[in-house]
Amino acid sequence: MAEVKVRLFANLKEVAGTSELILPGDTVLEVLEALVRQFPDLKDMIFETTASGPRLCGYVNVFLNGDNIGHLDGLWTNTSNNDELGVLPPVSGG
Amino acid sequence: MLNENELQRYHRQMLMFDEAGQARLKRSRVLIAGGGGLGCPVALYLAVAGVGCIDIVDRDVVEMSNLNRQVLHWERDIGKPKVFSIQEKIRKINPDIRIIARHETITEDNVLELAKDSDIIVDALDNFYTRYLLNYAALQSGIPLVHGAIRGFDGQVITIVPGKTACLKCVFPSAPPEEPFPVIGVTPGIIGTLQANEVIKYLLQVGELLEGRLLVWDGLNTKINTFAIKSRDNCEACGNLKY
Repeated sequence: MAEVKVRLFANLKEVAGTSELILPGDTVLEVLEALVRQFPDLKDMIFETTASGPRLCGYVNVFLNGDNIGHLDGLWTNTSNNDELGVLPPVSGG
Repeated sequence: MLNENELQRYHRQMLMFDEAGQARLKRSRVLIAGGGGLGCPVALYLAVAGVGCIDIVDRDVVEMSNLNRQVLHWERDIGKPKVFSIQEKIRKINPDIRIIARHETITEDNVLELAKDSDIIVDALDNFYTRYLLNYAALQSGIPLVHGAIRGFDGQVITIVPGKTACLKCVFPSAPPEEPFPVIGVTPGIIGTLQANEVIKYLLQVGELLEGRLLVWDGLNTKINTFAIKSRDNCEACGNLKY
């Protein structure tokens, strides 16, 4: 299974208590599932539960090596060793 | 035409973009939506740069709890509408520019009217509901929008050019949950200054804007990342504006 570097931003980083970690997964979904297994409090901050399965919250952006997975194969985008996955909720204050 | 005072005041920056560039800033008008943590540094740096007309809109009055970050509001301003507090300071800092202060709420009904005479709009707001209204006005009017937002030590900036780049709804299709956000003053200071930098570059037509790039500031680790952002074909806000 691929080892992917995950970078957390904003309040995700705060809740996890770390901004960077290595997680296993051959797809973005598998990596994110490994993330929420390790930090269950992140689950509702990243995923919405729908009848058809897990879906990213509308305001969370996930970038694989800088490209938004929305423009790749979404959660089913394949991952490889040394990939970098950024999980980015927006901040909204002013 | 610049007067003798202006030639002296802006001498150091005219070494970068000469008198024609300065005259361009003088002819420009910028709408700043929000007179809080972001709006203060944006207004300050645009004013000292000599942007000819700063139009600022905010519905709030100054409170004690604003003073850790909203640097143009002072203790004596508590209870005063923020836009008038900013107007007073900016007039003292640079009497040569015009500052319009609008103490009102941005709504669906007035947002187009507020935006219409601006060369560029700055999103210095604190909530996504109003940010989406501003995004709508920018798209409808074809006026660029510089979005900025902060929380804690974190911040983000992106410049939206209608018809060319992703819009705010492409980046964030739905609003995050609202919360009383934690913040330390340096964060809006940094993000607001980056927004002012975007505005100045746009007005002067120099450099490379944050077009299609979301800049993310992580102050706790002192890291800046930019992420490529493309338009979404099915975006309900700008989907019909694509070239």
